[in-house]
Amino acid sequence: MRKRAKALLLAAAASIAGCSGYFIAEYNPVVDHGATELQQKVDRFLTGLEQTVGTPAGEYDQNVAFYEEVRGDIRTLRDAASQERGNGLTVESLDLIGQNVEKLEAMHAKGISRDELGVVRTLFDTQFRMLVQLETAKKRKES
Amino acid sequence: MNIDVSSLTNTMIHGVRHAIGERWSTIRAVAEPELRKLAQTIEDVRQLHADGVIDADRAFQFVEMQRNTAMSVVRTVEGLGVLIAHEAVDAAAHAAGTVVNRLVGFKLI
Repeated sequence: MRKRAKALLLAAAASIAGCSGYFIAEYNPVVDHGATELQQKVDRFLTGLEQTVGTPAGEYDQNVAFYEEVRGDIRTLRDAASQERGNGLTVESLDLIGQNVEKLEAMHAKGISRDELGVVRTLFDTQFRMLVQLETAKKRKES
Repeated sequence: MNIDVSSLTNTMIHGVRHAIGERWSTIRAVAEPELRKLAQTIEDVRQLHADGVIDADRAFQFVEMQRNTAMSVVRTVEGLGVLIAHEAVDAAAHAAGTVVNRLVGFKLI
């Protein structure tokens, strides 16, 4: 009876230890720093656009390079994140930011107002904060 | 040497509760303000539409952006939840290891 209890306990303990294999990818400073830099880049762009909206400098045609650059940045971060198993949530978060960049670009191409940019900024702020929060949590877990 | 299963269970539960207890407040602190801000943007868009600043099509575009943003919050909460679960499992394994390793005579867990 005692042996059986011991075996059961060992099985339970092994199962607990085995569960440790289910986790999110390890902290990757490339993704963390890249996300922070991208956040700052988008923030600077929105600040600039708020100042130039309604002028020729604020026209979509004058800002196409920004969208191409950001798309490239997201692709690079996505590739870095995809290389590790367990990074699906980070990749999805980057995709969601990418989708909102596409939406902003479409709006910008049709014309956008300063009031609308205020809403856009709030949404991107939240998205980037969430992405960075997740990366920071991975870092905290390892420390 | 007998194992006090009840005592071991309590030790593990305490470890799990301790790990989750600290992090749960973190998740709440992260998600709630973001969801509040998101809700405010829904009102802002409604107001922009009511004021005639944007048309229905533009409002719809904003709703899609808000949906993407809400998903970003959910993804992070999900990730923090998995990290908490991992910490909880680690805490339980650690608690069990103290007893089990002594029993088997080597570092099993």
